[in-house]
Amino acid sequence: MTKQRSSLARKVASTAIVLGVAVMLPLSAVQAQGGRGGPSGDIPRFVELGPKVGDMVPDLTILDDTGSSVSIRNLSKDNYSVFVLGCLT
Amino acid sequence: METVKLDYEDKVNFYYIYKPLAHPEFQGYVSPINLKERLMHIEEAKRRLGSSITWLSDTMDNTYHQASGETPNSEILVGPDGVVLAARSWSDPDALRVDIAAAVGAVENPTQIADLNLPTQPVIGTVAKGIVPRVVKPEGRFLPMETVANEETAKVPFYTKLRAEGSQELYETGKGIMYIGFHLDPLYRVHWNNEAPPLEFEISTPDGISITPNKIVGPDPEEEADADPREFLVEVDSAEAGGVVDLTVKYFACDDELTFCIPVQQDYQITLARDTSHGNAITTDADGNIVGGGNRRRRPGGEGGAGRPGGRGGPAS
Repeated sequence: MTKQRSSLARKVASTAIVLGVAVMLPLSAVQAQGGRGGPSGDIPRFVELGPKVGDMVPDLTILDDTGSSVSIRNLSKDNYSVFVLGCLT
Repeated sequence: METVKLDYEDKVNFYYIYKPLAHPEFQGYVSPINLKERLMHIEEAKRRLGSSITWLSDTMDNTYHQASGETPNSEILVGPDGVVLAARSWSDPDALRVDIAAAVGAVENPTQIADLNLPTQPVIGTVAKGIVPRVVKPEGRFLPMETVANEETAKVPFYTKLRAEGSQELYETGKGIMYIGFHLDPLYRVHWNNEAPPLEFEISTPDGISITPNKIVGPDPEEEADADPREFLVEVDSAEAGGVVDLTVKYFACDDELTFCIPVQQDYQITLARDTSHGNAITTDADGNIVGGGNRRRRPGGEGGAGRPGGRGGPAS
């Protein structure tokens, strides 16, 4: 069952939205780029399981930003390529 | 990373690969449950970073992430013949620049960060937070638990998303505390309408597993709207770890534009086992200050380190 919101509730909500937009955390994903990406030192699981220098890049299929399949090997074919894992947080 | 890209983009292709959140709930972002939502995350990352680097998405079973040892922020440089020329656990644009220079030659006047003037966009705004107090977990580590949202029975998006965590004791013995949190997904721009009935959920368990309480009605604040997570602690008593329980949640989803406010019922399956593909949540207060969670190692020298998602150098790790 849908409930009707009161005009006061609308006012509270819309005011709070504006306030929320104004707040931005200092530890943001959009901080200055170009520095170091995280703690130093190798992660053992990466050393054990990750791609290794001198090996072929893994033959994996992932997706582009529209959801279409793309091959890591095809993307890196005939060009130098950099692949970096990341996310919003 | 952007400076390296600008200096070498005519010789090197640069890609970010979007992976599971390293720190769910930080800045309000919650883990996507399907590809459509992961692509929404990428659009949000584009908006916030303003980077010109091409975004790709890992598959929903995290093919690339797993092949990288489930590292949060690793990077590789690949040559035209497909051979890996450099690989490191943590993205390091300075070191990457050296690697690229060794491969294709150095640029004379490297671009500086100050030259970029990249736009800085705020996180998505929401209605008031700090209305419903955050739950205080008992001492000890709480780690994410395997959860699967049942999309087949869902008629609308998962506007709020379940996060289940177990205590170390629970994973080791089958008995312990489980955290259950329902976090609004900011990408849907929704809030709790507290004039509607509060969120409630029920957990059904098979023989051999008991969860107490297994039926809970959430808080019903006086404030008419808020965006705080609805969080609960329950006790689990299972003969062994790894059992499966079903959770059904009911709530009202109301968008911030006030165009809809609808009753929603959605189902989850929870396996009482550690989910290693997702990072540990970072708990923040209403002002966004970190108050708990995260297991980032502290970088020698003090900078960065624990509880500092995002870091420097591009997308958050």
